[in-house]
Amino acid sequence: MSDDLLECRSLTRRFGALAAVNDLSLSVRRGEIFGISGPNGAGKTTLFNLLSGHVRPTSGSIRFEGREIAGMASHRICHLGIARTFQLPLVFGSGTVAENAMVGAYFGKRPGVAGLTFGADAEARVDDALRMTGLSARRDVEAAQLPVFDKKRLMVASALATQPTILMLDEPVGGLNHREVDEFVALIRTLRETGLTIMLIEHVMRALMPLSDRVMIMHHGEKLAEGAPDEIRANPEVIRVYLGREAGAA
Amino acid sequence: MSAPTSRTSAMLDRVLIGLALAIAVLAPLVLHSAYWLRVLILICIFAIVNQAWNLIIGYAGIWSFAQLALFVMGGYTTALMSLNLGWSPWLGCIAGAVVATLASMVIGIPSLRLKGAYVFLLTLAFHEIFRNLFILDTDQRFGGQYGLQRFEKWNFGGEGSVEKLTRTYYVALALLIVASLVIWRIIHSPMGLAFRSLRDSEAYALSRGVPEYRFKLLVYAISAFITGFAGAFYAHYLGSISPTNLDFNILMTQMAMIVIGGWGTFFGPILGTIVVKLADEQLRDFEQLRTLIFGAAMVATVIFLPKGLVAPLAALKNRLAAAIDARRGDADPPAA
Ligand SMILES: Nc1ncnc2c1ncn2[C@@H]1O[C@H](COP(=O)(O)OP(=O)(O)OP(=O)(O)O)[C@@H](O)[C@H]1O
Ligand SMILES: [Mg+2]
Repeated sequence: MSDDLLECRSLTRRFGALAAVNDLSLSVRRGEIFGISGPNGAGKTTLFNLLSGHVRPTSGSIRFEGREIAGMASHRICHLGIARTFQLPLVFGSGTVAENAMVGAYFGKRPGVAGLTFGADAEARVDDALRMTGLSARRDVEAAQLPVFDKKRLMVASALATQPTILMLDEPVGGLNHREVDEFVALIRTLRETGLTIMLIEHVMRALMPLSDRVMIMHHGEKLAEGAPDEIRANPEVIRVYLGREAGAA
Repeated sequence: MSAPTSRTSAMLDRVLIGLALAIAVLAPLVLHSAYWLRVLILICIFAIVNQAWNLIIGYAGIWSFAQLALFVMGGYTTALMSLNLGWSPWLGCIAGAVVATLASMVIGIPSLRLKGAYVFLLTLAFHEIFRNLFILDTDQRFGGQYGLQRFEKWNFGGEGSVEKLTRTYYVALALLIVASLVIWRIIHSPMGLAFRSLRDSEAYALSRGVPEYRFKLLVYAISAFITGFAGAFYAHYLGSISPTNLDFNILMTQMAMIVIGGWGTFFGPILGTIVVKLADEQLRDFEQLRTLIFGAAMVATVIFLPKGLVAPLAALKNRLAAAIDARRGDADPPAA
């Protein structure tokens, strides 16, 4: 019970008649990697949007470290310690790699007003985040010019710079080649070793299954199954609805 | 590879800024005419307005077209203070800046939830309402269409009009330099980072902890404060302020300045102000046609030089820096 860092109860988000997330309950434990998968349109990204405050829930509750955060503004959720990446690479395009990380490093934990200088602490967080994600050599490159792999790593870097308690990764390896996928998997492993709790949306089974402690499969906005990776792989319902079709990716 | 180039390029920046400042300081000695001094003074004032405008449009990506309204509001404020309460012009400038800042909150707060073109429409409506408020001012509190006149003009001493104008010019130049330094500092501070990241992607900036509304209101306030101050300074320079300052062709000319110079760049608005103002003087015979000419020039710039006139100049400077580096490299190969 005390291990539950994040807890959703009957979370629902409707877009008109469509329930993108429907009466979903889940809990994420401190320090684990919680994998999420499911067919296209299952509501995975919407779930992240609800957790990060980009979309308001129609109903239901989200508790993070015992505090209700449903409907809270995104920047405040970030200040509390939830950071995310986006499915389609989203960066601060005209900023350099270092500036992208600096946004997270400077504003990530700052509810007060901005000063005139960045300060050594924030600079150090930028350096750490770039080193961790392998982007140190590219710190002065304009983010818009980066290839997809680097943009995806940069989203992780700027998220890490906010010093989150939970990191939510939305399909971090989608669209990457094998070598890049392996690098990303290694990065995620390193991150969990630092004690970070990670929620990971992924279609690519060879990334999701070995990384996750538990996996939840979503379908039509609902939880289809949840359990250890091996249980999920063997679940006939999951195979019928999802894995059967995705066999190529497994 | 890139580090030495950027160091040379930074050195060139300093040389060029020094050169520009030297020209600005020496210009009155060479031009020694009341006509040219008046042009130079207006260039300084409009450059301040455009720097402040560029901060909100170019850097923060907020399409506020209330800029001239805020400028004129600064002018009216100081004129009223001067005429009714006998306030000194400098005190009036502060009052003008404060009133413009408050007004910017009236525009800023309702526009917080709007995006792009809607902000443009809302702020342009504000401009129009404000203009009509003055023109239709039947009880003449604001002087109606003719505006307010006969309040104190700047007097920084000196004998004869050239000497007097020269001094006023140096004060205006000093204000431009101070405003530019302030804006430079803001752009390179966490505030600037917040403005730019929100401009590029609100979702990204929010998810990294940037409080959107706070920074949007802040950029409205900073931009309006500088603009209101400049408007008050302008009113005391002319000794009058009227609704004609809000005419459409003036708004167009002002916009041509930042677009042609290069918005979202630091020196673009200053360069654009100089180029367009000088062209404006040369094209006086064309009268109202000038608006059309500037409109066409603006379209041409957007198509052929989307980053404005500063872009090719910056490219030229970088090539020069590279050439300098190359020569240095030849002369002294082991240089780090
Ligand atoms: N802002 C929105 N407005 C309307 N409908 C939306 C919105 N966001 C998501 N939806 C719909 O909600 C459903 C769930 O979308 P979501 O993006 O959460 O799925 P997903 O599981 O992330 O899919 P994918 O695997 O393709 O990324 C989809 O039918 C989608 O069209
Ligand atoms: Mg998705």
